[in-house]
Amino acid sequence: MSRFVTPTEVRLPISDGDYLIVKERLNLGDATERTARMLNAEGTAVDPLKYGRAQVQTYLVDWSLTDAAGRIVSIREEPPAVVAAALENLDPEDFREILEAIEAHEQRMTAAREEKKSTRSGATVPAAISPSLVAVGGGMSGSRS
Amino acid sequence: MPGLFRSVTLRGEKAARLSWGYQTAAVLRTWALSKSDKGEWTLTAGIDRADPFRLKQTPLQFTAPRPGGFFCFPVRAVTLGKESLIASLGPPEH
Repeated sequence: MSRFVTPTEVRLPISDGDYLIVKERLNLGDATERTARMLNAEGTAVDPLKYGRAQVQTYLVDWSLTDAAGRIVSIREEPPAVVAAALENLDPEDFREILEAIEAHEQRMTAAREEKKSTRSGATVPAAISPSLVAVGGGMSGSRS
Repeated sequence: MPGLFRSVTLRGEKAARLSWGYQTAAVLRTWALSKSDKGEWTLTAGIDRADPFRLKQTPLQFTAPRPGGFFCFPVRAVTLGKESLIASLGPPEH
C-alpha cells in the first residue's frame, strides 16, 4: 500500500436521493488545511465552532444539491470561498446530515486503514515512549458546530 | 471539434488546469494547444502554480473552458520548466 494518498472520490448517499462526492482519504496538505480552518481569528487556538465547517469543506469535492430553481449548485474545483458561501446558506439540519455522513465515512476509512495496518506483514507495534499530547491535554473528538 | 483541420492551434488565458483526480496538479496562466498534421496534440502553457509531485502521477487530465463546456484531454507526458510546461496529450475526450 502506497504511503501517498491517491485522489480517489467516494460517493455518499444522503436523504431524498441526494449524494455527496468526498475525498476517500485526506493527505497531509488536506489535514493541515482542515486544522487551519478550525483556528480562531488570532490563529492561536482551535475554535470548536469551526469544526463542522472545516470537516465538511475539507472532504467535500462535489454534491448533487440544487438551488430553489432546481439548478445543481456545483462546487467542484470552485475556490474555497465559494464552497464556504454555499455551506453557509444551507439549512442547519441539512448541514448536520452532511457532516454526519462525512464523519461516518472518515470513521469507516480509519477503521479500514487500521485493519490494513494490523495485517501488514512484518509490521510491529512500537512501545510508547512518552504520553501523547491528546492523552495529556485531552482530544478534540466529539466537538461539533 | 477541430478534427476537421489538418493542424490547428487554440489559445486561452485563464481557468485551465492539469488535474490528478480531484487534485489540481497545475493552474495555467496562458496556454496554447496545437494539433500537428500527424494528429498529435501538444500543450504549451505558462504556469500560475504547479505541484511537481502531482505532475508526475497518472492519470493526468488537461481541462480548459470553451463556449458551452470544457476541452478535456488526457495527458501522456509533461515536461515542467521554471515558469512553463509542455505536455503531450491524447485525443480529446469531450
